[in-house]
Order: sequence, then structure tokens, then C-alpha cells
Amino acid sequence: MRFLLIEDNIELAQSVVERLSLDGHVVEHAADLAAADAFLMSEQFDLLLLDIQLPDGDGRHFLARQRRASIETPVIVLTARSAVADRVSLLDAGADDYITKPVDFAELGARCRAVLRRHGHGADVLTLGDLVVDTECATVSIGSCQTTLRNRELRVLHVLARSPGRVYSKSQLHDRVFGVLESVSDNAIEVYVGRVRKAIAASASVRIETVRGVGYRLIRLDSAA
Amino acid sequence: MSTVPARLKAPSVARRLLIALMAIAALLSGLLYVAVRASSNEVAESTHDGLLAASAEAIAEGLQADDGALVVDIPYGALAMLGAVSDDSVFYRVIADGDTLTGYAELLPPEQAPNPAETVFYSSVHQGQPVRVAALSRRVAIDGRTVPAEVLVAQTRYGQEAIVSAAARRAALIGIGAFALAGVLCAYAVRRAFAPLRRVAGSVERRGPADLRPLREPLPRELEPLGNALDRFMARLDATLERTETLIAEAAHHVRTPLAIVRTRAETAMRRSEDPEMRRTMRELVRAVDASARSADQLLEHAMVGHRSERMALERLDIGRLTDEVVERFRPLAEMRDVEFDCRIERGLDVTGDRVQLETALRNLIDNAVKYSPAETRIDVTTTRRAGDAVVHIRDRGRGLGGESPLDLSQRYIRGSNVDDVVGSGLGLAIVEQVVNAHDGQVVLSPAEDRGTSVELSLPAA
Repeated sequence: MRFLLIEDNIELAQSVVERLSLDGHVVEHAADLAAADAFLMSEQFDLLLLDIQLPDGDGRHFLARQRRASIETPVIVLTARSAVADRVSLLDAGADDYITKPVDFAELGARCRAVLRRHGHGADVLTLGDLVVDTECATVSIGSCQTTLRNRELRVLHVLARSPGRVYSKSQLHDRVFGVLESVSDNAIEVYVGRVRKAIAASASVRIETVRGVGYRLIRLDSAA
Repeated sequence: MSTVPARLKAPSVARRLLIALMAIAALLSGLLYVAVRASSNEVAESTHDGLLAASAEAIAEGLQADDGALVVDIPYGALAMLGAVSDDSVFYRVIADGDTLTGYAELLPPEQAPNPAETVFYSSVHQGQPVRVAALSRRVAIDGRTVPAEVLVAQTRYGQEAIVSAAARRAALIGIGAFALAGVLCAYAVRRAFAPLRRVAGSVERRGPADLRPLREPLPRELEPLGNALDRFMARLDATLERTETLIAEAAHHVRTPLAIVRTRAETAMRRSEDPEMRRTMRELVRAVDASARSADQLLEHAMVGHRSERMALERLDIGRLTDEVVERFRPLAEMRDVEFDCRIERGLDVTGDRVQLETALRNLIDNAVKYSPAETRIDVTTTRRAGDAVVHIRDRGRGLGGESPLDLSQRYIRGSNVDDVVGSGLGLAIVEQVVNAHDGQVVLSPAEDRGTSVELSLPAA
């Protein structure tokens, strides 16, 4: 995904860009509203991350301007203000959602997905042979047979299916499925991988392979790469 | 709630006024008594004197010349008329030319002989008894000369004294009666005069803790300076509270940015590492950062709610809709762990309250439910009407209250013994209680059937 991060604190911005890049996203950074306007005039983004308190203006006014100009890019506001009263007005001003600093990136991911789904951009259908994974509906279809997956199961499958052949260690899978602070047992990933294997057992096109001592990967059973 | 320090009490104004008025009434009643008594004494005495005079005149009529000498023929009625009034003894003496013609010789004449035209009255003593005497003089012509004659008529004073005592008693009764009546009227008048004061005091006392609006009661002129000072004070307090809220919001901002930097870097470091030791350390770092942020958060929220209860912005709102909005806010978080919300919201369930406070309370409760719910469990949220109350019920299937009494949990900073691994500061329930108290409602925590916690928030329906 292409993010535009609008944040005046350079150190914070750098850390956020770095973190989001780990997930494979492209993140541009604007340090103030003027820079943001410049970016938005020339490039397209999937989502804006907007700090509401900026040196050259209130993020709310920026939001209002965007909406008036019919710019529909979804916006998630990063706010430090804790008062409920402040948060309520953000949604009124045109934000799609907000998240408080310090940001939990698992939560940010979940909110981004929810926002994009609402905007109709959530459809992310992966087709691998006879396996169709629909992340918006959280379903796995093998031929005409459809199963609904739980959120975490879906995440495991999605991570593996997006890069067939690539090996993910347990830790790496863990980081992509669970939030940093979620109290999960050490073998939780094993449990979820097991469930996903059951869900796609009927597929003739893909299989999840255990790479002993390393981790897991999804492999194509048919000839396609 | 802070208690008002004991103040030195000045005596009640109303009481001082009443005492002063009663003293005046007593004085006037006393004067009234004295006046009535003196007046009745005077009347009694002049009546008696008049009788004595009439008697003396009657006797004087009987003075005549007989054979070159002065004789007196005392008509019966002259003395009888004195007996009609009382049983007092009567004495008389007729003096002709210096000699007692008839009567009691020891009866003392007046110091100065009266003029023929007038009757004099004086008090004297006769036979050891106090008497009142009327004396007149006449000149009777006998054989070409005029003979001076005096007639004295005296009567003892016992009857008179009886009348005087009776009059004194009557005067006393009048005085006391007047005082009592004055007392009652004064008390009533004072009460009425101070009624505006009581109204103002009552209206100030009835003000809710939230009310910083200027006084609306009409003020008597004497209270105007006080009323104006009070209004100015409340305006200053209002401004201070508003500044404090702004300060609180700014503090939040300043605290969170450095925390955000640390957390983000820790998450990144964890992601990049396969080393379990490093990963554990980073996780602990993140946990610590979150705990700080949450503490700051709730402290600020607590303070904000505390201030807001001094200035609540009341409106009529649909509590079901508000609950729904809060649930929506937490859905992505819940979804992350496959925690589902089962919501049964009754529409049109209105309450009167401060939206910000109520939302804060609901957020704290639902946040708790999500935080302590294990993965793949359900949280039931219902809003219903029950006997004039709007009731919000939240039930999770988490670890429950851990044996702590729900009362303890809502004291600041006390957390259950079973939640050490979940980040929280322990202020959440205290905040909810504060909001609920400000809204005249109730919050009840109890262990749910099977497992988990059940929270019931009830507010009076609008």
C-alpha cells in the first residue's frame, strides 16, 4: 500500500516510515500541510496518516479542504489528545478513523483494513489455482466449496499465500498475525497453521509446507510459479 | 467532597433584630403600664375628691345663724353619700370662728385656710389612719357681722387603695398583653422581612455542583455587593476550569510523542530480530511504554471528568446509539483477536447527561471487556429499559474479577490480582464511578455465569 504520513516530528515520522516499510508498504512523509498539499497534487495514495497538530495549521482544516475538493482518499488521524470531546470532532471533520499515539501497529493495520473495506478498496482476492482467498469476506473457496475463516487464520493464510515459496519463521509469522502485546502461547502459530491446513486440505493447487528448523511456506503443487 | 471549614459565626441578624424589637416592645409596654396605672389612680382620686367636696358643700349648706350664733344642721345625705362608695370611715369637723362647732376636733385643718370660692383637698392622718380631706370655708352673716366657718370632710383611704390595686393589676395585664401581641407581630414582621434572604440562600444551596451560572434570584439592595462578588467568583472559576482543561489536553500531547517514538522503534527492533531474548526485551519495553501512556491517559481522563462534573453540559441523548458508536470504535481491536460483539441495542432509550462523560465511561467499560476477553470469545452488549432506568449491560467471558471485591476494584489504582500481564492503570473503574455518580446512576460489577464479568450501568431515563 501507498501511505502518505503527515507528521511534524521528524524522529517519530522516521520511526513510523521504517516500521511500516517492514510490512512492505511504501510510505511518503510530509512534515507539514504545505508539503502534504504538494504530494497530493502529484501523487495518489491508498491512505493518509494525518497528525492533527501541525505547525502550519490544524489538521482538521486540512481535512475539511480535502473533503470539499472531493478527495476521497481515506484518512486515519494520529492524535495525542486524549479527551473524548476532541476525538468526536475528528470524525465530524471527515476523518475515517483515528488512532492515539503511541501507535500500536497491529491496531493500525486492523483499522486500515477496516477503513479500506468501508471504502470498497478492501477487496483483495488472491487466486492460486483452485484456491481463492477473499480477504474482504474472509472466505476460502476451493472450487465450489467455501469456508469462512477466523481473522487470525485468514491473516496466516494471507501472509503465506501472498508470497508463495517464501519461508516465514515462526517469529515472522507471529509478528504479522499477532500484535506485539498479545499474550499468546509459544505454539499459537503452530495451532493456527494447523487450522489453515485443514481449511485448504481439499486444494490440489497449494499446500503449506513445514521447513524443519526454519518455518513455514506455501507451495504451489501445480506447475504455475 | 471537601468539607467546608468551620467558620466563626456572627449572631443571626434576624435574631438581633428581633431581640432589639422585643426590648423596645418591653420598654413601651412598661411605659404603657406606668401610664395606665397613673391615669387610673388620678381618675380614682379625683372621683373620690369630688365626692368629698360634694359632701362638704352639703354640710356647708346647713350652716345658719340661730340666735346670734352659728349652728349647722347636717343633712343625712351629706355623709350617707360617702358610705355609698365604700366602707371607709368618715370624719367631719365644722369650725366656726376658730372653735369646733361639731364633729371630730382632732381632724387637722389645712395648713392654709381655703378661699371661700374654692375647696382644697389634702391628705392627712387622723386617729392613726391615713385620710383624704376636703376643706372649704364660708362666711356666714350673723347680726351684721360675717363669721368665718370651715367645713372639713375626711375619709379613710382603704377603698381607694383597693381601687388603685385593681387598676394596677389591670394595667399590668394590659402591659403584658401589649408586649405579647407586639412580640408575635414583631416575629412575623422579621420573618417576612428576611424572606428574600432565605430564598437566595436556598437557591444557592440547591445549585448542583455543576452550576456556575450567575445568580438569577432577585436580590435585595443590601445583598447586591455580595451577589455581584459571587457572580464574579463563579465566572473566574469557570474560566480557570476551562484553562485547566486546555492544559490537560496539551500535556497529553507532550507526553505522547516521545512515548510514540520509543514504542515504534521497539516494535521495529522486535520485528527485525529472531533472537528470543531480544524479542522478549522489546516486548517488555513496549508493555512499559503502553503502561505509561495508559496511566497518563487515564489520569488526564480522570481529571477531565472531575472538572466536567463541575460544569456538565447536559443534553438528551440516545444511550443505545452512544453505546453502539463506542462498540464500533472497538470493533477493529476486537476483530484482531477474533473477539465478537453481540449487540442488542434498544433504540430511542434516552437519558439526560453529559455526552463526553458518558462516552468516557462506556469506553472504559468496553475497553476493559475487550482487553480481558480471550481470543475467539464473545462480548454481549445490551441496552434496555428497566423500571424507569436505562440499563447498559456488558458481559465478557474473560478471567473475571479474580476474587477481588468489585468495590475494591473501583478504588483508584487497585487492579485485580489476575491481570498483571494486561496493561492497565487501574483508574478505569474509578472514572466510571465518578461519571455514574455525577449522573445519579449506578454501576454494578459481578461475576458472570460460567466465567467472565458482568457490568451493569444504569442511568435514570429521560
